[in-house]
Amino acid sequence: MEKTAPSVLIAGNPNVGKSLLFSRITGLGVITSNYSGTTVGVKTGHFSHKNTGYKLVDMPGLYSLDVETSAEQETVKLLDDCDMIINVVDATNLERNLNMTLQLAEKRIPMVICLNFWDETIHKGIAIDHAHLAKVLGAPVIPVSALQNTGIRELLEALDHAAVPAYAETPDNRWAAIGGIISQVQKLSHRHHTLLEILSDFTLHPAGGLVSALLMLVLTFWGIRTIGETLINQVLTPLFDHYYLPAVLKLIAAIPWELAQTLLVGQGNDIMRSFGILTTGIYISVVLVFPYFLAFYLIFGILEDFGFLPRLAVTFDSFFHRIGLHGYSSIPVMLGLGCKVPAFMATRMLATKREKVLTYTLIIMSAPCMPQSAMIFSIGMRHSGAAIAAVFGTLLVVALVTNLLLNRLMKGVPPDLFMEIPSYRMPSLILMARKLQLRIGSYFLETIPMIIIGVFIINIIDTVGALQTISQSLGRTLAVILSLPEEMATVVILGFLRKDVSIAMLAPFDMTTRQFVVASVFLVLYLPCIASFFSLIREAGPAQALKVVGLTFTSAVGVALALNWAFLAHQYISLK
Amino acid sequence: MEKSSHAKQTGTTNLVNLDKDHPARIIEIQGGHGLRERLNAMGLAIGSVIVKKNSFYGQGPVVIKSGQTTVALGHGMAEKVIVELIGPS
Repeated sequence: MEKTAPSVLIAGNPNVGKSLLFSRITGLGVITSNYSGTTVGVKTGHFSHKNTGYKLVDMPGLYSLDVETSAEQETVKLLDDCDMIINVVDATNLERNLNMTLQLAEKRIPMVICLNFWDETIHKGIAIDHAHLAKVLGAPVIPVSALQNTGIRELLEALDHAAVPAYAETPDNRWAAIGGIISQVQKLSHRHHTLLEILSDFTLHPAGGLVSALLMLVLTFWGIRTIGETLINQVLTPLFDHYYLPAVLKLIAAIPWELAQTLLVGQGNDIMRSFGILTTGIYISVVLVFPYFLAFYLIFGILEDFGFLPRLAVTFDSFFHRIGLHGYSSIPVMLGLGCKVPAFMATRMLATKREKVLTYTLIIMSAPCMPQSAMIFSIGMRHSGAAIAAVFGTLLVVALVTNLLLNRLMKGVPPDLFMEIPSYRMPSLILMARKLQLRIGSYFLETIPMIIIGVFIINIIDTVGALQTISQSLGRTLAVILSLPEEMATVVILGFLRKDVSIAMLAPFDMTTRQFVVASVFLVLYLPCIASFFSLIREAGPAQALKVVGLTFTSAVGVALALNWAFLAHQYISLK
Repeated sequence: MEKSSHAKQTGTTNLVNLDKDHPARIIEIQGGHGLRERLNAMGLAIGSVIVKKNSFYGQGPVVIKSGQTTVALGHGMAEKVIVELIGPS
């Protein structure tokens, strides 16, 4: 029998670059950012060094092994199953990080210390005698820059010399002991504030924070629109119209089977109404939705890697307190603007169930995900800017009112914000490109097939004439209560498969502005898509997830009713 | 809860009332074991020297710097951290 590969655990404080190191050693693509808590689950990979195979485990960061929440306890348990530890230490914050090193030392597991961000110590005026530190701790200490990919080989070489640190301290004495080590190995020289530090001070100032947050929101919005529209109008639409579509139509015309032709390219010449997989399906997913998706994650990636998001959390902390949360919740809510799945996962950083439930509802209700937003914009532009503003404004108001009510109903007080603010870091173009590539990859692998399946199902239903039957039951209800087209029933059913599809499917209906607003708000709120529903179940458990979904469904119906009546009343008054 | 005593007179205050950019040493953390542990893990223990960078309006958070670490603490938490001023005020 072959011996099992030794298991190496990457352990350390949050935001010290563990995931990037993991990615560098294993070659696996991993999402990284400049703030605590990007890694919420355990990742495992393999690598070999000098003909020995190793298993590498990347754990979520911890400030201490004395932990309270169950998620943190799960993380600490990883230590029981590993043969070796790579303790990643932020060299620009050695003192705080050594607290974890000494706690790991008490576990009596062979370890190697990785002094990451070594390149940054130079311009931060920090000089560390790493050889002396290794002597004091009794374990190898290797300077590394995971970002610049230096020192990784030396780190792997050092695994052969991994040692149980000879250092032991009682918990009460730990900080004093660390102070002693620091005075021996580290020298700080005075230097002037860098531009990034001045910017950091500005964004952490109450007024400066608000100004930069608003500026950031305006710039983000403007950037997404500009990049998205330019791509759609200047690049993708011409490519689609002049090259893709004629080629596909020609190719399909050669197929002698008419049903296949109908399924693949649909019927009629209107690209949004033909419902062919290769025409409407590709048009919606690649030409209309993808540019906004790309633009959002391009800009969001810069904000993540720069380190802006934690400052946003600080700026909006007192606002979030009013709805029973603290500022950290702004991070999952921001993530939710892109996709709800990573947003739900990011709620793991929240301590109490109450906070999590409040944040789930805010994530679901405050704004749609990027593919949906893209479609609301695309279709809304046919009506007016005011119609789009009405959709987003209504959603925001409904989300805030729901959270205020929940905050009153659920017992408990909002806990305090407590988070480390990372230094600003210039984002690395290569890392951002890799992250964007991962996100685009998952869009093409997961989202696009669902959009195409959605188009396919509508096409089938339409072809066999079942659209009529569905319309008659659910459709009649929609028509009577919400004054929406009866045919929208299929869209409502499909929306559960993939929300982004549902709004896109509104395109073929000739809706009035009123119907567009009511339908968009209803479709955003009524149910989460399957992917986000399952990720909510994973995070909250089935019972809690159903409660949250029940709540949002109820408000969806309520709000759509109220909106419809408000419009009707308005119409009635203006007719008089 | 009573307002903390005047900083300049007694030399001790909490993080909410501490002046900006004034170095201070943590001398007491009121509240439970859990809070002390969380602060301790972040490098904020009895004896740690900190500088307050900012506090936000309307019961907002307090931002402090300790060594190389910048931390934001909610208002309620900041009230429980008692510090003494270092140096001439």
